[in-house]
Amino acid sequence: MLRVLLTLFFSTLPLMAEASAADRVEEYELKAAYLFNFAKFTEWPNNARSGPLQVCIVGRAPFGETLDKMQNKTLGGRALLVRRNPTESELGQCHILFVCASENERATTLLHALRNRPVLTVGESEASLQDGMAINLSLEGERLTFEINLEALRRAQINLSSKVLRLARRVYTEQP
Amino acid sequence: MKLTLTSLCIALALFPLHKAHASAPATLLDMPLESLMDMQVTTASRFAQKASQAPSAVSIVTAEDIRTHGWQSLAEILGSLRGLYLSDDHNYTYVGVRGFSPPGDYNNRILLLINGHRVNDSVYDQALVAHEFQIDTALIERVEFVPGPGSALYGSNALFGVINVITRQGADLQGYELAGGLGSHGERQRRATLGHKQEDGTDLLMSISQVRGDGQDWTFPGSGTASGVDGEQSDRFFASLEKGAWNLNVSYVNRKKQVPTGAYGTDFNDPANATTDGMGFVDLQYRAAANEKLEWSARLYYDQSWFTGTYVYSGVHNRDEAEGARWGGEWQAVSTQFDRHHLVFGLSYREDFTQDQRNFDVAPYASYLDSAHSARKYGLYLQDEWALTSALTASLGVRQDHHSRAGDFLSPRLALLWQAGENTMLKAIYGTAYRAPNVYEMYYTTADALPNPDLQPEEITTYELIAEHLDPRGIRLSAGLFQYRICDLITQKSEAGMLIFRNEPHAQANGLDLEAERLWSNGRRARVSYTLENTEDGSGNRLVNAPRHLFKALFSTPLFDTRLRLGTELLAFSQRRSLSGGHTAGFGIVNMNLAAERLLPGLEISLAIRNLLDKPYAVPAGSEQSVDALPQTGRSLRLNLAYRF
Repeated sequence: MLRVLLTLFFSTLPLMAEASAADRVEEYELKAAYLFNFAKFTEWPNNARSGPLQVCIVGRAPFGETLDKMQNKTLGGRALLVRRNPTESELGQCHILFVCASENERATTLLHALRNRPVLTVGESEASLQDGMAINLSLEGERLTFEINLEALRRAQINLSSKVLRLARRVYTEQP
Repeated sequence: MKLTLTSLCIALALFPLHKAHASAPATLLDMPLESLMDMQVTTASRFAQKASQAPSAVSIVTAEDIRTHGWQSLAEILGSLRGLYLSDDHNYTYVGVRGFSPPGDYNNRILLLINGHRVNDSVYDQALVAHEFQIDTALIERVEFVPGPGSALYGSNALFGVINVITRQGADLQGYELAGGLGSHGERQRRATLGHKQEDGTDLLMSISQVRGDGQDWTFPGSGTASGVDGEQSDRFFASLEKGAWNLNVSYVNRKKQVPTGAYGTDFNDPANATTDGMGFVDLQYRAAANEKLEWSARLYYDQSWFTGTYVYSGVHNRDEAEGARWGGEWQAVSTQFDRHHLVFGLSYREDFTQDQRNFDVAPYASYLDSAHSARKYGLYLQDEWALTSALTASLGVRQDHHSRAGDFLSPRLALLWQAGENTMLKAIYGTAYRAPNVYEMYYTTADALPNPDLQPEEITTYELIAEHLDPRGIRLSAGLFQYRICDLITQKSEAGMLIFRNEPHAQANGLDLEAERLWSNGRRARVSYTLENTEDGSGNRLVNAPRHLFKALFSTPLFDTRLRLGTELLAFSQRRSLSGGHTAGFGIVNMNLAAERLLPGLEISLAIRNLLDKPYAVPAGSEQSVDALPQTGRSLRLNLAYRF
């Protein structure tokens, strides 16, 4: 029985070797690139300026290898560190926290734990901003746009460059 | 069948991992935000990963919780959850929910899923939860427990709850892992896993694991000491392959356990008394989006399960065998086309084409049972989550099932969800569920068991009120009141020394749940829960094996600047009534785990101690046992090492 299963399984392996179609942009690879851009244009308070810049991902999404590539980059002399599903103790060390839609249920708990800490929180669901996240990524047709919650940025003592604010589809000055 | 690591090693050699790809997405990071905003997106499927779209007080356990607390089996994970309790008869582990865990119940009132695939078997409807469960805990991404009746979505068996085990993906590992563990009572574990995700999204996870244990000596009053007859061996294989819209899962488990208790009047202390349980499945899923607001998925599967029990009576080997095989398909659509409505519609078909049972003496040969059955089931369901106002949502679900042996069932479920304040949610739920009697309960017969082909399905009606509050300081509070009423509860009886299943007219459980959880920003975490369960049969007698009070406290904290992580749990239960009319005493046990994930690169070490204070305790035994109470495991240690590269 097992041998049959194994054979069956390995016969599917050649599928893995197929070349990937590289021309289209996968949603989450693009989202990762957005995160990188947000990191570029964010200013953290003094107490969050040492050590590597940590980009944390809560949940699972098909980011491809974009995240790994981000890992090899530096920003303003700081190395980038990507943490997938950080442990609770690592949460507080994140500079950017992306909460995947699949983890919405945990979002509020996570945010309460991070309240007033200098973490740029990014979500991807309608409720993200109401939950208290700073940025929400959303698809408008085939384009990826984002909204910003200034109140959340203020609470986190984070400055986001006007370059980013200008590109946002909508900027809320108060908690929506 | 003997399962070795060789096959995996061959696989590893044949399948080198390619880590570096230089292609288009590399440049994505170098592009300015303005240009990124002009790019066209291929949308990822948004199929919810939730166990149930229906509202309930869902409990979720993550991979991190599992590592923090060092849980080594699904049973240990479930044992930590609010309102659940375990009993171990040294053959299987049983999960009690809402005060129901009667003798002869092989976890068949809980629906167990692996990535949405039903794994309750075709003969006993059994959910196997310890080392006989198909998935090593190290491969679990999360476990979702949705308490309450789930028949409105899932059909039969989902009486007390649905457990969905979601496995990790190759991307979570991106490389190899070799792991080994040593524990008390001669426990040895080893595991090899490979995980890889390619540039094009193709994701592969493959793992082989083994558990071996010598077990321990047990002393049973009246019988004596069973020595060296508690061994266990379990072999598992799991693989998942995701490519584009396709998702393939392959799973296999074979587990042999010696039975030290002399159950069913077998010769005490004979090492040949043992059971073997196995299961395997292949599940292929396809997901697609018709448009932005309509997505659908289809699933096709084949399952096989097998059981062999050897029971020795005055030196004569009696063999008990069961074989199950089935195939089935499901189709589900999720639509958000109508404003304010989130609709789920589905069809399912399952054919249990083999449901065979045999019982015979090996030599001199004598056959007591040789039965072959089959069954076909189809179901149709619809669920609507309807946003009545911005604060009020109604969830309406209904499922119609047809079972070729048991007939037709209609299972409705209604819920109202009210966002009562910024941080407060109130839920009122009415639910129904059913369970058709399985072929074991209807047709099993031996020298000391009688069949009952007239068994009727059991049905449950439940009412629940739930309040959830999120305090701004990071505290989550929840409270629930519940009433469960069961008609025709299928119960194992002992009549003139013969075991038989009968429908009990009524049984009822009333109770409440309280839970508080706090997450500190420094990584500390605490969860405390209390459950009151008052479970009675139609004449007002307490059910057997049903503690009235359950208390659980879990605490975890990072130590030494997050280099170590400590997880502790206290699980306490009040007394349980036993079959003789007596009681087994209430008890509390403490479990502790210390995990070091970053002492050396790639190396994870953990030390788990279960029943730290070595508290002796026992749980009520089933009517097949010669004793009234079965002692449970004392203090046991386990050391685990895992190396990733």
